[in-house]
Amino acid sequence: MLSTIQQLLEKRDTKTLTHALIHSSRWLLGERLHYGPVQQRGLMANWLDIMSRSGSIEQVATLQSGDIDAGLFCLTSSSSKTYFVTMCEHSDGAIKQLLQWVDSASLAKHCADDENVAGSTNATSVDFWPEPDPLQLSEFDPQLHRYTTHAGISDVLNGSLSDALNTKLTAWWQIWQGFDSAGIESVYTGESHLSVNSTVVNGEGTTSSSITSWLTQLEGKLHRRYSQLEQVVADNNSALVRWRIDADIKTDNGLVRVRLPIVTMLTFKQNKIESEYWVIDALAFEKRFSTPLPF
Amino acid sequence: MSETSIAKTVYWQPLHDMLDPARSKTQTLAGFDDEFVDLADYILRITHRIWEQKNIGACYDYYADFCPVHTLGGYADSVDVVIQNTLKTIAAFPDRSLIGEDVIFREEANEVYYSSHRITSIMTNKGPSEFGAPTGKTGRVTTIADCMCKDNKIFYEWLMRDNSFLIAQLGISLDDAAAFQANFSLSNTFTQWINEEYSRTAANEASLGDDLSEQDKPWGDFAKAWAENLFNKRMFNQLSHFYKPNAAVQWPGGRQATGNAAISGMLIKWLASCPDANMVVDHVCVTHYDQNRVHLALRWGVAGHYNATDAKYAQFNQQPHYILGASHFEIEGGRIAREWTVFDEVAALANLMRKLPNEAEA
Repeated sequence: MLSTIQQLLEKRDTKTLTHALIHSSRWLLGERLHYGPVQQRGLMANWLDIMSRSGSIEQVATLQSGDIDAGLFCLTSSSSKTYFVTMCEHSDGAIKQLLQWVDSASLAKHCADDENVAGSTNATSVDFWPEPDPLQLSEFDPQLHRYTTHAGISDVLNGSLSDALNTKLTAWWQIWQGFDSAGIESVYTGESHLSVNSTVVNGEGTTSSSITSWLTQLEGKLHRRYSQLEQVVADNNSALVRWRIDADIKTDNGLVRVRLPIVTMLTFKQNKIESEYWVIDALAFEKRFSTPLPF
Repeated sequence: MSETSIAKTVYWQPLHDMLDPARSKTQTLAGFDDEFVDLADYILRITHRIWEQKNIGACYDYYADFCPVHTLGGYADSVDVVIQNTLKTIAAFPDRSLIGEDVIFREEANEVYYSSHRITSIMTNKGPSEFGAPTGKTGRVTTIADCMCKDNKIFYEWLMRDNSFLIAQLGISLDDAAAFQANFSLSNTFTQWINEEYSRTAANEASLGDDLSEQDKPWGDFAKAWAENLFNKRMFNQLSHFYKPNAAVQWPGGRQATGNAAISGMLIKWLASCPDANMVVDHVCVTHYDQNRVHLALRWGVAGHYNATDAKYAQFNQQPHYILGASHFEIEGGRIAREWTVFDEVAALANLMRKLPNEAEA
């Protein structure tokens, strides 16, 4: 059912997607859940607006597992790349959930570059980006106590992964949840591409310690960090991992409790990570917590 | 068609099928209009007719003349008042949509059907409302409406709405909305009801009957154990008995927790505002989505004494505190995968301002 989104983006076809959405379909964008035809039409209009400013759209990776389809896309203009992930839950041609996560900081730059022609210089916002849903966070114990339950890859995996890839992904999660910097070498190779939004962390032009630096930055700037797996969808070529970090960050107004939703699309080659893309919606974060991302 | 597939049908139902169901009639529904194929169909279609088609007068067809409707913020018992309240809500939110997310139901004795209907509404505040002056803003809200139905009419209803989440989107503070509501006059029936519910709940006297089917009794036990172990005994180490490791929980006011650690933190903070709270589960419905997935609807009450976790509410400390709530669980492999819990925090705060419940009269 990703084709309905592609039809919208590439052919400006609102009809196919409208037909696939049902009465109770929910559409997540900008960390806000949208319902009903009025809101859905608004989102489609926004995507058409974005596409009218874009040079091209590339489908970077896709996966399909049961009733879940997901894809990583890249919007490219002369000066920027904007990655976004679309995931849909569907059955018999009907879409129940359409979830989207966008590198909104790059999108803002992308839109501003376009508007600069008309005189605008605002590169840090997108006029129509949704207000995120209200969120009330509670404090909790972030320690990985031996006798408490913490979600692991096998607990939440939807789809099929070979034992080797399951082990690889479990080691991957141990790096990012458990601050296991020693595991980096066994999970990544020098050729593995890793990017966080439009920033390349590992791969061409980076040093071998770049992933460690990124992990250290996460640990250092997100205090009392707790990483929680929400969903893992996989086939034997790729995996989509939805996860979140709850943490305290230092701001001018003191410590602020925040939640950072992250979507990671991984592709595998010969049981190794070939590429890994993290998408984080910086505008939603800033709107929700009144402070920018700390990195 | 089996009950299992009714739940699945509701989940995937397009609007045209909701308005004109293609499935064949599977429930007797004695006394109901022949057009309705099952209780879920009845609830979804009459809701659509009343709210989205704005056919408010259809309440005369689908509500009994005397129909007690309980909310944490008020009480009504005549169909005329139900119609007046519906009219006022639509005037305040003219584009209010009622999107049926789930209808969890069960057939009870004497041809009574009990339905727990979870609804998502998108609504724009264009007129004066129960929260104050119009803001012009659009919000989303989750409602759970528990209804007892017989002979084509709803004759008893409990209504729970996540108003604190709604007002956050409308730009209204909890304090302002509650203070506004605290000025509403209340009937003696409401005061008597909340005092009696407080007393009954504090005494751990549930109104839960034992009339679940043999197949569903374990789920009634699951619901009672959830309340007893987590809320009454505060045994948070047992969360993993009830929740999957990535369970996603939605609670009022924008509380969103995923996983046992976050759920534990959320429940502990909430219970700290009423540390001697006692929960009773008053009703349980069960529908089966498929062999691995079961949907549970619980209606429950919590009673105890208020303890402010925010200093600005310290003036209410030690006052009797009562919450009418409902929860919907989607259970997979025996544990909760998704939960929606709904109660009205605006009304709860307004009741504290009114010094209700009144323990001396309870």
